[in-house]
Formats: sequence, structure tokens, C-alpha cells
Amino acid sequence: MPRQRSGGGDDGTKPDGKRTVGPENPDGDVTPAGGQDDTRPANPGRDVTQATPDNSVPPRIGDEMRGHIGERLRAHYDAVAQEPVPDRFLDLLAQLEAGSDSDEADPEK
Amino acid sequence: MSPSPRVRDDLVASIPSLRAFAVSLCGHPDQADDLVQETLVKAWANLGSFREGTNLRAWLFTILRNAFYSEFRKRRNEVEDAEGVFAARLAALPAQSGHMDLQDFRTALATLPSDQREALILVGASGFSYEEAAMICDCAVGTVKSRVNRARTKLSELLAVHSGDDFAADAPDKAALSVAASGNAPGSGR
Repeated sequence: MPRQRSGGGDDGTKPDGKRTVGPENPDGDVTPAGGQDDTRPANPGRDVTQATPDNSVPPRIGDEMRGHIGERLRAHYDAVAQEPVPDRFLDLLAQLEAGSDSDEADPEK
Repeated sequence: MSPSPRVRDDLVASIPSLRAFAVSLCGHPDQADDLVQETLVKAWANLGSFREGTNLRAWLFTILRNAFYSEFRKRRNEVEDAEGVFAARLAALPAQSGHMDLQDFRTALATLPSDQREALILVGASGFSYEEAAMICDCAVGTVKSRVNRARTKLSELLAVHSGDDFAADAPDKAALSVAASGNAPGSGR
């Protein structure tokens, strides 16, 4: 048995509830709304502080948030990048070096 | 052929950042080091095609990235690695500094599409220019810029939720997010 809805709720069963924005009824009129830029990607709720005409560029985030992200990005990265080089790689390079010294012409992959 | 001592030194000097990049690509420290190892072996075998004096780091990153996408991903797919697993791995990485919200950041980072994440890491953490990153990712400079921008935008939304909206668990609407984003003080770490 399907669950029953007693009308009137805020369930989204019908998309009819959308508000008409224009003063005139655009019934049958297929002219695109002049003020709307249809080439923008659909991001209705985005906080566009600077409305850029360039449609492929997402809204610029603030410098503070940018700094916030950059700082954590480097912390994430440096957690590994600041570790000393593990011995396995130094050993590996020594092996490769020994190999190429003893066998110059071997095009091993 | 054996590289010059200078190239060898540069190779060693590149290992830390190669490891960091590898971790960001595959999300697992052990796998990352296997990837770095594979990169070094391949680089060594192909040193003949590297012109000394050009960008060794970018060259190595390119090899690492190619190795990841050609082989590591295949292997990963065998285990059917879900997005959530990747996120959990990244979040479980050790934190080095006193950033209490680093794990939140990593969780957010892990939700990015991999092309955006790698572009952001290359430009924002590895210190490559857009041009170098484009070379490494084998795409146009504009593509890198757009990926980095989208990555930052997405992260700013996600981080605003965590830092500014901690208790509003079910208010994920965009208006709330952007308010939190603009009111968020990034200097809270110090």
C-alpha cells in the first residue's frame, strides 16, 4: 500500500507550486526571458559576489576562504612531504645505480 | 645509463613531494609509496629522454600520474574501491601540525572529483604553475584553472558547513552555506 498523503503538505509531488515571477503570463510565449542568462551553469543558490559575464568561471570565493583552504591544503600535503625520504627509496636508487653501472646497455623497463 | 650526480640529487629531492602527490592521488600511504617506487624505476629507465636542465620535478610528476591512471587504477578497481573508502583513508592520514580541522579538510578534499583534486594539489600545494600542472595532467591551461576554481568553490562550501554550521545538521541549503562562508574567519587557527 502506497503511503498516503493528505494533500496540502510540503511534499514535492507536483512541480506546479512554483511561483510565477513575471507580471504577465508567458503562456505559449517561447521567447527566452531577457534578463536571464541561460548560458550559465545551473547554480541557482550560489553566492555570486561578483557577477562575472564569463559563463565558464565559477564565482570567485573570498580571499579569506581562499587562504583558509590553501593553508589546510599545504598542511595536508606537508604532513607527507616533510617526512624524511624512506630508506626503501634510497636503497632503490642505489640498486638502480649499481645496475646501470654494471650493465650500461640494458634497456630494462 | 647513469644520471649525473646533479640529476640523481634532484631525483632524491623530489621524492618527498612525489610521495605527497601520490597519497593525494590514491589515498593510501602504502600504495602511494609503491607508486613512487614505480615512478622512480620508470624515470630511471627513461632518463635518456629527459633533458637535463628542464623541469625534472614536473617530468617525475607526469610519470607518477600516468603510472597511477594506467595501472594503479586498474588494480584498485579490482577491489571495487568505493568513494567512501577513499574518503576514510584520506581522513585517516596522520596529521602533522596543530590543525584540528585537518581531518575535516581531508574528508572534504576526498569528495572532490579526482581531476579537480589533483589540479588543486598540483597548483595549491606542490607549487606548480598552471602551465606546469597542465603539462602534467596533459590538458589545457584553461582546464586546469577551471578545475582549480571549481575545487576551491566546492571546498569552500563544504568547509563552511563544518566550521560555521556545526549544529545545523539538516540545514544544507545553499543560502546558509554562503552566509557561513562569508562570515567565516579563516585565521581561527592562530
